[in-house]
Amino acid sequence: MTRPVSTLLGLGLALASGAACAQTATGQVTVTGGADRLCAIGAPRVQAGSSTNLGVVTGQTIDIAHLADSQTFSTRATSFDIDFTAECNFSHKVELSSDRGGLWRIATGQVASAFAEGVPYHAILEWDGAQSTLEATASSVVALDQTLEINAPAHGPLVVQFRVDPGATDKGAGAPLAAGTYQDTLTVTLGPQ
Amino acid sequence: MARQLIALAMAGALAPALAHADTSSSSSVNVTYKLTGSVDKLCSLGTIGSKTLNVGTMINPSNGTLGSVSSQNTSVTGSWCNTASTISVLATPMIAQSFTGTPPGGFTKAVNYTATVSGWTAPPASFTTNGDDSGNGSGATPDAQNQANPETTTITVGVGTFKSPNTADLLVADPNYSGNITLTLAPQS
Repeated sequence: MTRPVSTLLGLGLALASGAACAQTATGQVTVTGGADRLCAIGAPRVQAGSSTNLGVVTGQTIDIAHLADSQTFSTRATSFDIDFTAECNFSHKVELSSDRGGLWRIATGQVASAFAEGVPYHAILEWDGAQSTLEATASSVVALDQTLEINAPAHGPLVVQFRVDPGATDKGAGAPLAAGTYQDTLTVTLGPQ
Repeated sequence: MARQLIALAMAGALAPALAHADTSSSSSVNVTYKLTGSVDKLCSLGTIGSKTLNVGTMINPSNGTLGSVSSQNTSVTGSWCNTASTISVLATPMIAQSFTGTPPGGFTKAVNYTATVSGWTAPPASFTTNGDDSGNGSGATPDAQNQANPETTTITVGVGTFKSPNTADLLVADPNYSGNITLTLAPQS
């Protein structure tokens, strides 16, 4: 008689031990993943609709129709916008840079000092509600840049407004422009701060 | 429980001397014991094979939206219930851990998914998170499924069907998006 009771006692202890932990059991699993830093910028699109003095656009080369006014031989006003579809999923900066600091004539020989060989312009950068202006003053052939710091992810249209004032030259207002090809290169860069 | 049974054993040992000192001349004496006990309703969740399911990078590098994310699962071995039971699952969206505040328009810091707990019941218990771009409003009522019999088997916890709150959402950059799955095994009352 003692042995069966003893066995029951043993079972009772074993189950009582389990009951002391919990009648309901709970576990947790964590799910993890990541998203890499990413900046992307689409191809530039020139908005011809509201432009002034815009010529032919070939790929990423924008030709100004008539850089010099046929009456004054000085600079004609030019205006157009370029926009890009862009995004960055982290705090970032956007940089607008000019290779030459103005539209400069590609030198093909000596010209009289009265003639201008550089044309200043403004390039206004708009992105994520912020704005910054690159002033390419054509004071010398020099690279320039302008930066916007954006402390959040952003996406949408990035716009560069390109403006040339009438008569603006490196030799002062209204100076005649020497004949030739004038050129600069603008670059938009999105990346980490 | 343990104390009650000890008392029972002691009573069994003393009873013959006190209650059954039969003085008749009969050659046999009968003693009857009635032994009783009870077993509580219990459930035990076994060992979780992997307490972290890492789905890796989730972003589509071509456009910044949620990319193709593979399902993951882990096994829970050694679970048992000695009675009819209910298994339930509740999950929270995966949220970018280092991004503070509300994400800008068009971005999300949350990724939703479906957590499935299978093997214990058919159909399995399943919970789909439904958070907004900040991971809020996903719901707090777990999905529960009943098992009518005592059971002991391996449970599988899986995650899949990853979705951003809005289809075109861009994911904010963060090396650690994290969500939790809570599974509960309980006796039915």
